Amino acid sequence: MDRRDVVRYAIVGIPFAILIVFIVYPVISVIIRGLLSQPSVNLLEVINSPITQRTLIFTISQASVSTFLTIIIGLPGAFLIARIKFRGRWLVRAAIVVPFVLPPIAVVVGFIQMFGPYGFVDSIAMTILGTNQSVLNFAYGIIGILLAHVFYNIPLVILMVSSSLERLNPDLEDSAESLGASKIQKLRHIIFPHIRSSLFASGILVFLFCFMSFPIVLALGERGIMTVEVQIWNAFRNFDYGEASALVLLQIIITMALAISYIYLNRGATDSSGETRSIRRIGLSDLELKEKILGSIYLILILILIAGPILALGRASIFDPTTGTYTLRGFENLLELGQGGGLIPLINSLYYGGLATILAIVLGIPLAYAHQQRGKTMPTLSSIMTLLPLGISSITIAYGLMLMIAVPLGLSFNPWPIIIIAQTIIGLPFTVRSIEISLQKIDQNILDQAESLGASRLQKLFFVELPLLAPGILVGGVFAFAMAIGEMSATLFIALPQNITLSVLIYQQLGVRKFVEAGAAAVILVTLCFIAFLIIERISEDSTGGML
Amino acid sequence: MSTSYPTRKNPKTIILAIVVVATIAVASFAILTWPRPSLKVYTYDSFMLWGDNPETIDETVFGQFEIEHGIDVEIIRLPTDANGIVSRLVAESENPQADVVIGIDNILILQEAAKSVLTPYSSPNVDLIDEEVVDALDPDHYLIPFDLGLVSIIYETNFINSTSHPTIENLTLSNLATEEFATSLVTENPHQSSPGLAFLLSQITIAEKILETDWTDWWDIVKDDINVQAGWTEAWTIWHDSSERNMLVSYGTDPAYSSYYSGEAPDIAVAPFHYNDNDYSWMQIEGIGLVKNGPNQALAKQFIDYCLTAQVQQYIALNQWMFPANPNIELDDAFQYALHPEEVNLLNTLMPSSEIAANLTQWLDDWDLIMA
Amino acid sequence: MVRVELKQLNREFKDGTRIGPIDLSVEEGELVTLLGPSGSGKTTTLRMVAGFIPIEEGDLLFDGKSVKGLSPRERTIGMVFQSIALFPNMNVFQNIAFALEMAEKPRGEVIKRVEELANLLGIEKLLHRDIHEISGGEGQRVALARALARNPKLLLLDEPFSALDPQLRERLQYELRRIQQSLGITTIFVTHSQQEAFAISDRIAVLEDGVVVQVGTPNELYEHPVNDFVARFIGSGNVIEASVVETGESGSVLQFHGIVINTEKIVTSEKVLISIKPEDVEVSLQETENCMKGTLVSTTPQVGALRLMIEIANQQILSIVENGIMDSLDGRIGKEIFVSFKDKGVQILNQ
Ligand SMILES: Nc1ncnc2c1ncn2[C@@H]1O[C@H](COP(=O)(O)OP(=O)(O)O)[C@@H](O)[C@H]1O
Ligand SMILES: [Mg+2]
Repeated sequence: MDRRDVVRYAIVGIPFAILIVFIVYPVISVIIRGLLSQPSVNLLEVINSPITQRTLIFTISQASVSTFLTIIIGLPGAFLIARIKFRGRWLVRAAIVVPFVLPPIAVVVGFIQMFGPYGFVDSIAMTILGTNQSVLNFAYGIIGILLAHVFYNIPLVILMVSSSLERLNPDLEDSAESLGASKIQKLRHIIFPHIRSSLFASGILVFLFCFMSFPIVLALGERGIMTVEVQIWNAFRNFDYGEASALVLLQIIITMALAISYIYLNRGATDSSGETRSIRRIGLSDLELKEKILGSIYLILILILIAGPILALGRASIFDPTTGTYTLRGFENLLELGQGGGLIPLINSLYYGGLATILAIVLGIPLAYAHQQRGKTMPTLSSIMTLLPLGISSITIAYGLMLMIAVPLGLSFNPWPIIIIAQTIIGLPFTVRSIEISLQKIDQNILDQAESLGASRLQKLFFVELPLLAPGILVGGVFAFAMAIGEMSATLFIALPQNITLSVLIYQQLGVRKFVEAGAAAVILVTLCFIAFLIIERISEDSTGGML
Repeated sequence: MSTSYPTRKNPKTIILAIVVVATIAVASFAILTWPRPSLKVYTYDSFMLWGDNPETIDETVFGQFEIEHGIDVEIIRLPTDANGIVSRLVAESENPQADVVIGIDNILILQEAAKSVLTPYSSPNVDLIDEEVVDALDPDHYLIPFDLGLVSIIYETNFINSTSHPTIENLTLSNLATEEFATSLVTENPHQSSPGLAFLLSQITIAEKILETDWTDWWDIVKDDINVQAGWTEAWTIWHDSSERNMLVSYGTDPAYSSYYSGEAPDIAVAPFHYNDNDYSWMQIEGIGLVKNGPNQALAKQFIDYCLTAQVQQYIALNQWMFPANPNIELDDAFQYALHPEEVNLLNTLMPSSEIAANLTQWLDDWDLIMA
Repeated sequence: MVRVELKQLNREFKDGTRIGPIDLSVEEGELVTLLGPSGSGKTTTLRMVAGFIPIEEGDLLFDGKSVKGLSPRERTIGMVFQSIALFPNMNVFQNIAFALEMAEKPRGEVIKRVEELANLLGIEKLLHRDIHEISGGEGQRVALARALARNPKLLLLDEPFSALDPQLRERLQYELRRIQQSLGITTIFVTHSQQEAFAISDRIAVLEDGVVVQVGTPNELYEHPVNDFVARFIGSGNVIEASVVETGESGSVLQFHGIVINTEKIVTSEKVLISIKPEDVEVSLQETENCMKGTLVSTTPQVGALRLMIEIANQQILSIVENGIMDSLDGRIGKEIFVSFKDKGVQILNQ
């Protein structure tokens, strides 16, 4: 091993070490402590208990149905985005990402306002039926959970599949057509095999997110509907650390199996995807009438499902339901210091989010390089490491960080560094992924060229590699920021009042019925995310698409 | 022409600049947020914030103590409830930062975990509070009562009243289980909400101790009709917005709150359970306790003493909408509409703490299975 | 300038593909071309010289000193890659100035040198352009200027012109040769086109399957290919199999169909491969002495000459004849024609 190798291993080693210290070590410690805490706790007993069984079955079935629905509803969208030429396409692409990065708590507010009893949809139904009784309730219960999961995850399907569709060489389709393939045959034999791995990869990711779903199930699930994650949370609340540990183990086994199949599928996806410059797009006017009608119906449905809750959120921020008047109080509150004021949380959100972004980039670049290493072990290892936070309950990570890091360091009373770490960890998989995509596009010859021209390692990095990685870093940074400011579960556990972020503030204000203030804070979060994605969509055309 | 060629910055300068800026930003934030010496009181997020002046309430209530002892009192409203506070204290137990905790109630204290983070303290001012209440909370004085309230069913009188529904006056589990009432009731998940848990315990106590039946039968009957929300806020919202859900598991002081802010007689009323010519209700007692190994033990004890005096207790009713633990406090007129502890038999007394402690986990599991 | 020696360079890839051993020396100021079909190991050899591929066996000497342990940046080479590899994040000026700026040369010197190179290559008007605003040919000039900026001791060029249209290619070959000679810089040039190699090289090394099969001046290669691969690849001619009729002290007698060939070489085998250049294949409409009969397949006019493709017993033979000799060939496609070889044009190839 020569000196360059040592440096390379050190650079890759640092983020690994950080992830080990801040995820693996705390989580394993919590699990072990939990299992040892009550000598009576028996792993098999917890797993075999009727409650766990029921929770597990429910978790898996709701995740399956959610995934199925998301794919069914998302696929036409992917085709539309990939194939239809229209003005403001970039705007739509940017807007589509927004649901995915919204704080779950803001989604809950928007969902209730849109689909809940006396919500927007219900009001229309009530007017039509001429009644003043609520007739529709799609926000609560299993329907609400499924709808919210579709809302949340549809961006994944649309973006991943559409970017794969865009890479399909149009010549292939043309030659199939010239060989006499019908539309259905073309779909089956040319298009489906091409998008299959992106479809499965997005499916697995959606399943993973629905499997881990927490705030949505908690807030919309009635009558104590529980996912494994909620059961873990309950166990922590009841100080039943043994049960919590057993459940966390169970959860990790399942999610890691999913993560590994995702990595595997995704590798296939990147291998086969050559870039085609000549993307096939049809203008709106070239569509047949039937296609136009179907397309419009689909668009209206999607608008109701995706734009509806977000717009409802906007209305909630200025409309006070208790007095029935419009007010700017919510936004004014965001500039207020002091108890319940939004200024400190706003500053915290921006500050923590900013630092988390920088940290995610600094850690993400070497991890992306690790993904690019030859061989299988290194990339698989680093992929698993980065996907880890998606597969472990955030409450467990938060508890572990608190117990094993903050308290021994005396940081529990000034825990903002820990919050930043928790927020970084959550966005890391996305940051790494987008940097990796940029990295794949760099021509090795360009780097060799720089070296042959006498550039040192640092000069090469600074003047050539980083500028070429810039689009990926930008996209990754925006994702990191969006995930960081949307994070609630871990922050909620770690934060003291002076550390609360906008997401936590929304949750708190909902708790004291300050709907306007909560709505305004949520609108700010949504706007921040949306602007960020608009910028990157403009700068780096379709980098967000291949992102995931 | 030559001057217009682009120039290159030295990477080292740029890295240095970034590092310097980042360090300054982090350092100044660190300095700004560095904890000042103070007496730290952990409590839940809405503590004393239900009054007219939530912004200045800490100053009003605890300012006197700060002046007397020359120390800042920091009321730290953790963004969570009492269970979350105990979780945090357990996590911090190897290096505790808080001195006092307010808000752990008479059910939560039955958990080993809660006792493990507290040190018993028999304040000299415990005499100011009814012995019965002190013992109902914790005879070992891990906690001393701070305030109390009755968890009861409240209802909207516009929809339900003694004329339209005569049984509301003498509410029993069986008439609550009728379709008419059950489809009108909103309650909270006992895993996630203390009134929800108190309601479950009320029901179990009545079934097992008064009616001597299997408590689970009742839930089997109502499970499809009642509406269970995650927390009190969610439940309140449904109850408030829906014209079909007019009964809510909440607190007996709710009518007082409503009347105080509307200035009129309230349009909500309380329905305690009624058996054998007596009203029954569950009393929730929230305590104040000394954190084990906290940094300022001596001062913390004085603070607990202070909290039991009228200087603090007088503010509880209108800011917390609970009854002060100290019975000598005069209450606002609005409280005439509240359900008072003297008016009811406490279900707590029928159910020994040891029995709750022993069975709580099993009960919650059973409840989960029924509701599935 | 530097004298470069490649001594028994060897490289084995994980999958078993083997490049080398390669022996080659390049004199000071000389332009040597590595010529070979795609996949023959040209790029690998060049990258070993540049230092991007570590040398496992053998040695690499610059002016007699081993540079095996030096990194690419320490070898002071200038390299132009097959894909040009201009830095897309910099404009033309910054691309050319890159090496100088990395070496932290004074600003004035950098500007002077870049402008000088731009003048040399005729791209002074492009200095402010972005990389995506210049054409392929201009890109090549920029890449060359960039490689020359820090006065490298050795210039390495990997198929720099392969993506350009033939006319532009010829012009750039000419310019490259002019600049290389005026700077006197030692150069290793890689190409798969014999035309290009012949146009610019002092000497050519022909690579086949990772091995140098012949090194020589263009003329030597043309006149005396050592084996059928070189003969075919150089395009120097028809490779055909003749049978050995007789072998004596002073030479051998070969026969190809009706044609008898006398050679001074002593051939011991029964059959032998010979190469004969097209211009040494003579044709006539009448049967002559020592000739054979074939069928005329096609005629293609060239500058001052005519290319004839003739089929003899399922083998195609190419002939180039001067214009005017046979105006009457037009109507004879598909008809019979008689072929004979000039004796001195026949080259016996190594097996
Ligand atoms: N990194 C590598 N791993 C395995 N085989 C390689 C690698 N690089 C080149 N080769 C193989 O080595 C041979 C020579 O390649 P190269 O030097 O690029 O040829 P040329 O430049 O002459 O076209 C080819 O067979 C090629 O497939
Ligand atoms: Mg090559």
